[in-house]
Amino acid sequence: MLLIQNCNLVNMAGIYEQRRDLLVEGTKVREIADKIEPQPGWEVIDAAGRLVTPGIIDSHAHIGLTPTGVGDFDGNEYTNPATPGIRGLDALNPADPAFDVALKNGVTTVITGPGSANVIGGTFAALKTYGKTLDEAVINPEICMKTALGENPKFAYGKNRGKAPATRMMSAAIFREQLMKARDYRAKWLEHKAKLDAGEEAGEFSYDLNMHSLMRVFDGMMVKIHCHQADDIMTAIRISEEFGLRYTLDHCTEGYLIPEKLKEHNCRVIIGPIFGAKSKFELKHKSMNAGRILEENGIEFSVMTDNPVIPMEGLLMQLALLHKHGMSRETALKAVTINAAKNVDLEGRLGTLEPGKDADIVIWNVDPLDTMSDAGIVIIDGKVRYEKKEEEIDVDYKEL
Amino acid sequence: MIKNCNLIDMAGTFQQPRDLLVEGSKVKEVGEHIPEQKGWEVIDAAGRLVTPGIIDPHSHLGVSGTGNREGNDTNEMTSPVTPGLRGLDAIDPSDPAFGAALRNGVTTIVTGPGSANLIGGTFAAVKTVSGENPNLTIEECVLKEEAVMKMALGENPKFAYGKRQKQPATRMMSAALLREQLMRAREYRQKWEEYQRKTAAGEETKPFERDLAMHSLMRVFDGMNCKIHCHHAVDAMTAIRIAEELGLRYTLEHFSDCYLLIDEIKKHNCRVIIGPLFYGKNKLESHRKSLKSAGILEKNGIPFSVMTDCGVIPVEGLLVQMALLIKNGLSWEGALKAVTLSAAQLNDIDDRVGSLEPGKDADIVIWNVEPFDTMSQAGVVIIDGKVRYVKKDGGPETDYIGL
Repeated sequence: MLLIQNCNLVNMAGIYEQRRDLLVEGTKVREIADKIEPQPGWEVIDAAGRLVTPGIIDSHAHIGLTPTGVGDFDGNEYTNPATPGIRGLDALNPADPAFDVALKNGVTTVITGPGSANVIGGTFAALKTYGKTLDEAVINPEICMKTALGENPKFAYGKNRGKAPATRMMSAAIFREQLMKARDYRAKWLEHKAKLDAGEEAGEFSYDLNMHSLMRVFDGMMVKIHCHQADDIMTAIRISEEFGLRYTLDHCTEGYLIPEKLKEHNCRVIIGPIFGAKSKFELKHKSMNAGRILEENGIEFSVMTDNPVIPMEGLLMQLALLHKHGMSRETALKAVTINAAKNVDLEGRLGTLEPGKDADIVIWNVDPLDTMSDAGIVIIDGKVRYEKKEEEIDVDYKEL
Repeated sequence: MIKNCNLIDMAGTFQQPRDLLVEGSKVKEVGEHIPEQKGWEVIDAAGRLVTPGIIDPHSHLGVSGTGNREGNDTNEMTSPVTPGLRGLDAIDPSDPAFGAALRNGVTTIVTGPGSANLIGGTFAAVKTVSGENPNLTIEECVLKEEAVMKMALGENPKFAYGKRQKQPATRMMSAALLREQLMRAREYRQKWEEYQRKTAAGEETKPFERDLAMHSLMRVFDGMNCKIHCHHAVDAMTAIRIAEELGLRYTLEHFSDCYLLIDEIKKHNCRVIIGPLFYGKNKLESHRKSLKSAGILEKNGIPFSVMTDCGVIPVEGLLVQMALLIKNGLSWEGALKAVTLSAAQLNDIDDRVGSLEPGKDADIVIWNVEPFDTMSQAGVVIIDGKVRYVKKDGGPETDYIGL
């Protein structure tokens, strides 16, 4: 058992900056109480009144696929705009030095996968930020299906390769056509499976890896839709509702301009990266005010780095800048804990510190929203994975 | 007059109560107490921190466009050596990034061509006055039309050209093309001087055949600073080797590996402009880039400044970047110097900007919240003696104005 005493606890489940003790058993939180008596044999950490929060969750990144420090990367399969059968997992390099930086900045879980060149890019994986090999770190090898609208697919294919899609019309058409095919394929598959289960003659089934993967969105697999401009956001909503999909609007850069639409359609939103150049037209209205405006309109959202667009060490800085522009501190913390977990179907395990949930805990030496933020101790799955040493200024990348 | 400053003038006064007098576009006087005269405009800094305007020493603001691709004029990727080009000719003062710069206390930017070309052309030093009035022409904004000559080594030229089966494809060719151009420019300059001497002396002389590229590049032999982009130690050493061979003044820009070559930097008296340090490491040559490098350069007494390379880091990120450097070992005073006086000195514009002294430009920031805090806030920004921005009550305005 691991006992963390004297926490100034924010557990994202009703306790906000209250003095508590927290007990960990194995990889899970066991108990939270005003005072827990340490027993012999327990490991005890004294938080000494420091802020204690759930581990930070980055709900959209490309860490491990677009690794830090090399130009050659596996972020985008630029050979076909519809590749639902591929998995970010298979290109994930756990040796990406960014995992180490993530850990030291209190980021305990990342959701990572293909980029946005493809209209349907493949699946994202969810993993903790420790572990030499993937089997140690991965908590869900295929947690959601990545898709993208807007300029990136057009430029990747239409402009650079003279292939479809060259316009938004074609991007949407490719998206819908793939979904139609997947829906039909799923119907055939279910029929075939029913026959097998009933012991009947089922005949041969013509497997299609792409369709077998994509059909899962009709069984509730979250669809992650990259979109910046308001019109792309509406296209994402339109297509998702046509096909009955569960979806998140990722980036949702102009979302703050149409908050009433997001509310009306009960959209799940992941904003970010808010800090970066406006290198293309669809980023023109990117704004640090987005956090405040979405909050004012009662829209729940999480915040991403899109690493390496913002490097992992920038997640907290980005939250601080959103807070500077009027978003509340509570919303900032929610955006990288419980809301992030909900947006990636992990709220059963992550996002709050409650009995039975993962013991992913950060004890902060300096407040996460402070310029000089400092994660003192980072615990993942009940074990201390990082502890900031006295003279260490080492939030930066290890020597490579 | 600005009274009751908590003044840092980058000329000896560090957080002392002072009054500051501006006449026209210049600083007139800095004193402990300047009695007010009739007819003067008076601003009460009320004890707030007052510093020289912040300078971004290497940027592509105004040249790279904001929010579109059509306005991106950063890299003339049609020929690897284009010394006749001027960033000046591509700057769009109406770029909304100038407004973001101004509202964050950045009063001067040094901007120009990117690093696709081995010799890209000249950089201009520009005041961010169009942040207040986007309808100004570049003539009304420019501080120095051609401040330095941009050069680049490393991966960018190789990938811009070599990948398209053009030269340079390797570092060997990059260095060779650079040396060849410089040698030609040196010869051209001799011919030009000879021609001028003869004409001045009234002697017979053939008409001189001008070459725009050479006429521009030859200025590096008259002391124009060479702004040499390099990340990797290998490229930095190549830059030093070529610069010393040809007797050039130079700064090493980005220099991701700088903290690994402290002895060499000291031995060769190099001057360095580091950054951007707060973004993804997407190339092999920048993978050792470290937030600790600023503190290490400072500790070793090496003259340096810090850039955004806007839009790699947007201009509003300069202050946030400095905060991260302070977090990783740079002193607060060192951080301020890097983006004021040093930034000016390493771009040869320190005769005008970088410190608040009588006779220099009245580019002044009165800070509501100190610059190197995430919550930093410029309260009043003065450029060339005129107030260009005043923070109004209400939420922060450091973001881009609605487009």
